[in-house]
Amino acid sequence: MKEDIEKIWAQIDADFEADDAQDVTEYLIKKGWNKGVENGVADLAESIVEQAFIEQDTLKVSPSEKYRIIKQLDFGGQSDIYLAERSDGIYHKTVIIKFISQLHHHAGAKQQFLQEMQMLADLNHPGVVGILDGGLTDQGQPWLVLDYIEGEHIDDYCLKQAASNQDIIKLIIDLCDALRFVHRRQVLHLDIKPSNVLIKRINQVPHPVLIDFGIAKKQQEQDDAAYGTPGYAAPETLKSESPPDIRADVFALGMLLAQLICRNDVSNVGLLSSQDRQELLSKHKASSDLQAIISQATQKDRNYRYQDTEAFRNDLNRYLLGMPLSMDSGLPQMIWKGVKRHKMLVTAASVAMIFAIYFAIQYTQEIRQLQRITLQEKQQSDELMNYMLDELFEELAKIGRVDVLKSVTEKSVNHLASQDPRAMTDLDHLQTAKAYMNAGQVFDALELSQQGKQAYLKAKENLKPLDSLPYAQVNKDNLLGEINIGLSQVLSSEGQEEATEKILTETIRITEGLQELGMLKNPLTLWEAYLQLGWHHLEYGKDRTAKDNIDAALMLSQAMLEDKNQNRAQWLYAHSHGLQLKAWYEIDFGTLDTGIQDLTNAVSFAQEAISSDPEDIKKLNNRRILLNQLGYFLLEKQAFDVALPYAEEAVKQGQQLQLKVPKNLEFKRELAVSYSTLGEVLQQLGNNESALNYYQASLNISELLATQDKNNYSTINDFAIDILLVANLNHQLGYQKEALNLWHKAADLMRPIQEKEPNNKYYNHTLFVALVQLKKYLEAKVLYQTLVDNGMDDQQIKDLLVQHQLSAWENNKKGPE
Amino acid sequence: MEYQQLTQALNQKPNDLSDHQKQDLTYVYSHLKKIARSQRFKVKGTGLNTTALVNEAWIKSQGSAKSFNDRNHFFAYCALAMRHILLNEAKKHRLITYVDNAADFEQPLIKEADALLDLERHLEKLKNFSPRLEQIFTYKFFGDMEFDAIAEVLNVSERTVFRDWKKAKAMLAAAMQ
Repeated sequence: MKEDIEKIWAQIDADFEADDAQDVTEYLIKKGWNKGVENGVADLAESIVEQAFIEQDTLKVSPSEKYRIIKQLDFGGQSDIYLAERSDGIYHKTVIIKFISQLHHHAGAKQQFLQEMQMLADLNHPGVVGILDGGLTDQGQPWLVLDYIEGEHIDDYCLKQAASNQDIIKLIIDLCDALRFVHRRQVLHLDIKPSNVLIKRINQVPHPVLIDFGIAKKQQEQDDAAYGTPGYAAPETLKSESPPDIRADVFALGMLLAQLICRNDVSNVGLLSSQDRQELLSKHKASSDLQAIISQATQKDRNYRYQDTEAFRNDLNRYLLGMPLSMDSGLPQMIWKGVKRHKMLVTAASVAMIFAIYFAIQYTQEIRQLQRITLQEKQQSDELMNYMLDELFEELAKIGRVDVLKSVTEKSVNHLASQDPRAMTDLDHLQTAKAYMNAGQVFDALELSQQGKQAYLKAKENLKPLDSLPYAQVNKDNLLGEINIGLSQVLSSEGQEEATEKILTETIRITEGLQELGMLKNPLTLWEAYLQLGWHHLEYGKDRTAKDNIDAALMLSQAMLEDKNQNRAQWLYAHSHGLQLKAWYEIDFGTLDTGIQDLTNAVSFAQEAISSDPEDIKKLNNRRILLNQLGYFLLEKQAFDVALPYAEEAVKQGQQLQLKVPKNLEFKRELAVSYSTLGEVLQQLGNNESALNYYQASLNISELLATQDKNNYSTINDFAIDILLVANLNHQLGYQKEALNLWHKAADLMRPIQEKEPNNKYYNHTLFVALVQLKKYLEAKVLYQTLVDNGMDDQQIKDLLVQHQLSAWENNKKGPE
Repeated sequence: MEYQQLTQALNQKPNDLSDHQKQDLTYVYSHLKKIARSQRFKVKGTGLNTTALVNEAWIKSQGSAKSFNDRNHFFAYCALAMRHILLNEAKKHRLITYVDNAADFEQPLIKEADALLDLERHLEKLKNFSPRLEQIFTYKFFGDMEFDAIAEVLNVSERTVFRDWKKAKAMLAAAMQ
């Protein structure tokens, strides 16, 4: 078509070049075109010319009785928007009429658009603009009639009202609610930005309303188009590799929050680097918590963002209430770190010791205040920096807020690096080493293990100049011991078996020497070195040396308990921890009975530690963990009657703890473990109905945890294991339908995870059990060999094979396939 | 207002205009409207004369307008303004028929709106084919400018303007068959 008309035009051009005197009308008739063009617009469109230049209200002529256009609000670009009045004969209403430029030509596209319209029209929420009508023109141009919201754009409103950060956060919380409503209906907005949020005032109270669902998409719809506005559009929407999901709206909302906090200082904070954005936010008195929230919402990788607006909203709310944020509380980095390091001691006190006080949230406000003051003064004094990294670290670690020290630590390290070593006195070197060590601890706690390692190494380097000075040796060695403990943890988590062993051995030599001279400042350093080395050997199967070191640790804590000058509660706690490690040693290399004896003792030490400090949550948690573990050991021994009271007590205490700290997910997880243990004990005692109840209780918690932490495979694995327990018991009790459903559920949960981590023996184990129960033998058999190779063919697997008459697999396992 | 700026303005969509250009256009708009209101009483029943509108605008603009130091450039600008005003007006009327199923399609406003929108589509195509043809057509058709005035604005001979006007009319007629 286009080429055709251009050919004709080229011909006309040539014709008039050849003869410019000819009359146009004659020329057109000669060509057979009987329709001409007027000489002026007044001839073509008289009424429109008149209409255009005469005031609207003096002219009553309108092609529509239903709508009267009052004025054009916006035109060009994406859409034409008109303010109009709608009259149904009874009442008048001001509305917005919007024509979207993008055309929908194909029948399929039209159909889809109309479906979307319906979907949007169904969104009836005060925070979402209402759609009154919509459709497509003959040319396929979409149009909408929308409620007219009388109000300003959210950024203008905040500026004019001089809204405080608190006011802004409240508005964003309202928007989270509106978006949650929208998302639950599988609709995405995908173009959240200041100009798409209006503030409607009802009785002087501002209510944000989301407008412009022009590019709203139903979730999971594949579309190649990029969405949204640069700066607000999440990175994945621009790449359009995978369809955007609700996390794209979370990103935009986070940017909107940042933009509002920055009071439009720049036109679009989303286009700044995250560092510049942080600086600007700081300038506008956004606390580090608020910055952390914004940063979490606007992570480039959507997997690291808040997974939905509800999580985002909850943190904003916690922030307003002055409570710790989800990244601190839920499953803090520090805990995970502990868990990773001490794989064998997942439920052990060593981990509990690190994190248990996390949830004493009442301190947070004070610490935040303290942080503010100290941050201001820090600039005046470098000494204060050391204070913060040392004593404040302890304080903050207790409530899990080491993160607030991150920037101080980085600055401190930079400052230290800029010092000239030649100008330093001996004391300076000692101070610098300590500062580096403190920095190392902070980095370490924040999972920045490489930076931590560098800091520890720097700390050691600064002790070198003191080697030749006899009078400095005591101070130097005391500090070296502490540095080495930190460094050994980093090395151990890197899997450096020899280096870890070497450094711990060296530490023990040094601190033992100091101890003999009575010059060891903190005996806990030596105790930690013993215990760490004991655990390290245990992990690498060196049972004899493991035992020696565990014993040494226990002897030390025992001796400290007899010393009246020592902090008794601290050593009671340490001693119970040592006994716990010994129990783990016993179950692997010694006798179960000794392990049980150790745990029984550990419980009584834990008990005594509590009596000196009955409200200390970490100690309460420690005790119930030990009780549960004792129940589990007795279960292994098949002493079910003896196990019962311990397992019951663990559950009881876990439930009490739950009342004190209802939101602590780690405590919940532990309670779930206690439920399972008790369930197993009851099942063994033949009380299947009660057992089922406890399994179900455990299952409920696992499900909660799994939904809260969707990307955490081990949480989902726990969930699946609980499902299998319940399923197997249902099966045993004759509830076949329930059992079958649950097996299916477990298999469905584990299949995708097993695909992603095919080498994880635990995941293979769980999936294998589910598959065999479902009689999917072919699929199961593939997994069987990996279980055997990893020594995971435990009693449960063996029983299962017998039950399903698959014992032949077992006989073939070592031979070639 | 420089010739360069004017042609620029003509070749751009309203949203792409500079603030200064928009200001000028707003000025022209409001003047055309004021004049139209007073004209209406003068020409009752016979319709409006766009030439009269623009002439009146020029006389009234003397002394207050900043950018227009040349009558012909002012006319050119008015032609552009007229095209924008009428296009928007036409769109508005046409669009409302989509929103209201019961709209009266026999209304002259709707028929004219269709015609204007149709013309606009072809003018956009013509601009791609030859920007000068489109400009000359706009000046003449929407602004009712004299050929010599257009020649001066575009810095070409009057004969060329006349020939191009014929070409543009023939081409648009051909396209709209």
